[in-house]
Amino acid sequence: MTNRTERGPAAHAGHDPLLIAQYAADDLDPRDRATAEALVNSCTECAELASDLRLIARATAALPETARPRDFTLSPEQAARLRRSGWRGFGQRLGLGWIRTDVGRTLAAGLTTLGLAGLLIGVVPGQLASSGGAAPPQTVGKSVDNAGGGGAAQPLATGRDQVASAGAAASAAPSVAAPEYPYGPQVDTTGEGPHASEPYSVESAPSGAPMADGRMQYTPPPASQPNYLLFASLVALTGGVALFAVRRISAG
Amino acid sequence: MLDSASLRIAVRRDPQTVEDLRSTTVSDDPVQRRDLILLERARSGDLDAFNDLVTCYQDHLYALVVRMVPDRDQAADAVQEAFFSAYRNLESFRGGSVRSWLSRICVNAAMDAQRARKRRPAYPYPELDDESWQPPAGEDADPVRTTLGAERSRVLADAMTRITNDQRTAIVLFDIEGYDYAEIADMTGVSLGTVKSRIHRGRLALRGMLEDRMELFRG
Repeated sequence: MTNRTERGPAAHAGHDPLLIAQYAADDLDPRDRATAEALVNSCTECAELASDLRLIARATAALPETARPRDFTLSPEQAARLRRSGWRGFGQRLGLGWIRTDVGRTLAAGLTTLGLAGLLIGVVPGQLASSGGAAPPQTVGKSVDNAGGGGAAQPLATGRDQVASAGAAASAAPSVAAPEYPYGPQVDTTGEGPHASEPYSVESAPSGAPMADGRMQYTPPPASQPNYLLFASLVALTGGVALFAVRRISAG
Repeated sequence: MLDSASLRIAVRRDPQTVEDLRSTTVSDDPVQRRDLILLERARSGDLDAFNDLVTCYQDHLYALVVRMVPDRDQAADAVQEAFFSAYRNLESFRGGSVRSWLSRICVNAAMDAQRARKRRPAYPYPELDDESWQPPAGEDADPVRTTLGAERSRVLADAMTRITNDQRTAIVLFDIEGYDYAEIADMTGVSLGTVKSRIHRGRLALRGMLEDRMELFRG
């Protein structure tokens, strides 16, 4: 920047006027203040600039007020129109004024967050499973989980004879998650079962009742359950967005 | 004397904390207590109570807005719109200073007017010929001092109209209204650093315009 020996306009041209302005407003940390003080003490123009800026700030604060040109009080007609106008008046008549308060904002944000989180939990794992990329391993022993529906994570039934329905999945996506279906080779982690290394088929899949050869009889899968999580998430998300929209409209 | 310059500076030096501004407890300040009573009555539908608030603050708020929006007609419209907005939003008052609440609404209205003005520029600054910019002179006032003061105010007000809207808003709120940096940042929706930069650069711009007239300020 400069040193104490620099004098004259040529030296001043290289000085930082913003630093001087901050110095004049006493708006510097100690290190920059020392730099600015050195400038002001060594450069006449900087000293003059700092003094002028203080004078301008003082004169600005003392500017006289301008007389208002008219009276701004509200007439009863204006007040009635303002009270009744638009969505705000409609909402107030319905007792929905709380939507514009912090309670309404918090509720809207909470519902939206819950809805998005629910959708994330309910839909994304299904998408990942159907794409075959990131489905979690679901084979424990010889158990077979319900591979149908959207592929949402379901609790696994453990034990070699517990088999959930797999037929729906077989017809829906037979080639996608085949290794986890009962038709593919099963890994017998216990090494005990007679069919440990045999592929299952629909006909031979063990099920509720034992057949003559000792294997379990196949029973068709139960009707798919409605996805309550998805439904609730959509309701929460819609409610949250609607609250935000009402707040936005009523603020206009 | 609530509007005196000395009080404004005192307010700036000891700004209210956020807790103070949000407080809903009964104030010891009689003015504040009066304002809260009027506001509560206005909330219950008493138009006269609201108009009492308007009467209390319309001079101050117009003076604030007309410095941010130098066109007097646009400034008056902005103030009227601000009072409309305040009346519509009585329920949104969260406690604290009624004056600050109204000022914030007016600052928002003024910034809206600035944006509208940028889109549709009008003939600039008819108020420069207005006598009201001159400070009131007492009977025993020194005519030379009075004339100098009037000329100083005139050239400064003229220069103020030629800096940017953002710089003018920041300077008016800081130097004239006495808000601190954080409050201005909150009111204008920018960072603390931006507020400081606008104030300092605005003053530098004023000084650049007034360089040849600085003897008016030094005298």
